[in-house]
Amino acid sequence: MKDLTPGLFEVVFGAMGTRCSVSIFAADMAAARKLAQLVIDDVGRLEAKYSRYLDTSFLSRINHVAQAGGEIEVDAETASLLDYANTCYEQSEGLFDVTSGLLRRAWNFQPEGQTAVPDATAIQALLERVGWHHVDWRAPRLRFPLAGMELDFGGIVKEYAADRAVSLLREAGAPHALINLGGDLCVTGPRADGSSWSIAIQNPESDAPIDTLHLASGALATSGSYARCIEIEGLKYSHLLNPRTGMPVQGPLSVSVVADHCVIAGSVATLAMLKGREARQVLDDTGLAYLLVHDSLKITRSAAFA
Amino acid sequence: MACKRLLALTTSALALPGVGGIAIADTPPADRVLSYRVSNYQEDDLAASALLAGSAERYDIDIHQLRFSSAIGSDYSIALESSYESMSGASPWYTIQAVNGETQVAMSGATIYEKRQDVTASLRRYFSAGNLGVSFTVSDENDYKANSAAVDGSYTFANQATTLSAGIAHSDDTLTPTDAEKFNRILGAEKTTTSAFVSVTQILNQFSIFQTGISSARAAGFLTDPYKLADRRPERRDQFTWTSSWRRYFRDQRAAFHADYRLYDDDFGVRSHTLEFALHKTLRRSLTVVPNVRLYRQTAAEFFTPATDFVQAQPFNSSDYRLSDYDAVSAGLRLNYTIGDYTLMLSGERYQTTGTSAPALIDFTRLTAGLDFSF
Repeated sequence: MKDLTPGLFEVVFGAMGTRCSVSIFAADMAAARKLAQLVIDDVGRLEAKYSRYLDTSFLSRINHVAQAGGEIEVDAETASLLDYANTCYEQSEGLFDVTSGLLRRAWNFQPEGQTAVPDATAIQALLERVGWHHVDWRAPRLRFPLAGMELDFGGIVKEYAADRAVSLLREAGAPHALINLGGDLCVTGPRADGSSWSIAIQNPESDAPIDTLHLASGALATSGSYARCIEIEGLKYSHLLNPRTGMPVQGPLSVSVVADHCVIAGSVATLAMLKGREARQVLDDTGLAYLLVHDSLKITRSAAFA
Repeated sequence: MACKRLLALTTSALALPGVGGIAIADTPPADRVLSYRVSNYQEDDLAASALLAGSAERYDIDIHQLRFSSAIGSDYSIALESSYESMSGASPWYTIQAVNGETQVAMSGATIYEKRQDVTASLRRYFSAGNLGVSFTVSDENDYKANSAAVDGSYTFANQATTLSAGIAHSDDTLTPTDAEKFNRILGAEKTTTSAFVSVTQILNQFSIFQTGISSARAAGFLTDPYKLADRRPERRDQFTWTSSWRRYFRDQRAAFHADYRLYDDDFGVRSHTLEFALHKTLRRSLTVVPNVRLYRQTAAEFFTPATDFVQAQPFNSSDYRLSDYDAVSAGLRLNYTIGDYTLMLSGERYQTTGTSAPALIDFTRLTAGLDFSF
């Protein structure tokens, strides 16, 4: 439902293959647009730099090298993203792996795109070229001793863009704003009257709201298999793939996590999904607020989630 | 203890450009850290032309430091620290005006051997918006004992962009000079120092931090140096310090520039200015180099006399070079190299003074090696 609070303006735009919006308390629409433009420009910049669909992106240049084998020198921003990816890999015991995108070649997650489980030998062939441990990363040089690999920053860059949007808006003097990049949400602070933003969490199956989160600071990110999952012979397969087995992860339908920063919320949510049945244990260990939708549609909320 | 996985992600996320602008809630350090440092501090020999009598060989000090810190539960941390120093060398005894007008120094005749050890224990409690700590130190030397205690805290507010810190400290010292009767020194004396500070740190944007603070201290009791001949100083010294620092991070260069200024003023009449610049440059993920340079200038205490005033015409006088007017320059380089849970530290510093009134001014070289183990 549209929020019609006076002084609150919503600027909607499309980027990174999803619907994005910035809601800002501002003097007028022109002022809100001007502020939102800072976010739109930066998200656009990051998309142009890190999209795996754009041949001109820096990520595509990296992937040309990854495909052929060899090394490439990266800039400081990419270096810090690779450092972050390295931390995700280490902290997930190898499950959160930026090289696992290659496995998508065996799976088609478009609706009706896949009618049978892929051939085991096809998956095995891809698995040989998956694994962050095959990559030699020593800033600023990224080396691929093994040819035929592929990198993507899915689960990192969009969340990073949301966190940057917070800094950009705060610096520009917008302490009451909400950024939503396709379900990755950040706020620069509470609403203009000091109250929290109400954020509806949807039921993965029916889109009906199942919970409302009140957020005055920090970020919310959701990782869910419901958005892109396929059904083969009555079994549901998540779009998240285990980089060790090459098979889709079986476990929760979705995980929503609240953290100080969107990139952390996103990584923890993704990690919990990848852990499958151990998702709840992983989430409890972090102490972060979360909402977990099990495949039975049962919901588990952490104490702090309200 | 906060989840190690979350801390690792947070640390890494805060290094992302544009994400690091926002600080996180105050939590105790996640790792237990055991650190060892060994330093050698070597003062240059006194110039032969300035030596009147005694040994030209000045202090050579070896310092060993051991430190352990750990979180206790999710809200507390403790630290234990101990250091051991062994020093040898001679120290200035008195100065005279030579016939040619130059001042010359008489050094303590024989080489002095001294040992000093101290232990500090501290406990800190972390809150969502700050922390509060207490610490106790016992220092022991055969002719000098000191017990001190300190309390300090900090509070972070305004979207975690501003931190206010304050603290107080008190030290009770007892002097029992060696060979007191032989050299007509005081047999024993007491000295206390009480100090307080307040500072504010402001995150200006994701790349810059500014900090400024003032502190004040009062030393009372026997402030005279018992080993210097005819040294007599007031029984109270009020000190005031103002510090300011600025940190600027350069994302593309992976470097941070630190600039610090310190103004010191006391009622002995000493006023000093210290200006320091350092560059923390990350060469590879595991290697950091920190070159620094420090400039120092001070005015002399009102009762400083280049040549010892044996007549003691004035109520107070001292020929201690530390109370003279002089300039100093020091430059250093530090390397930090991290391999897994270990960090190796090597540093070197060269300090040189220039001044006209005190011939005993020191120049020194300090070399330090250290190893930190996080677990």
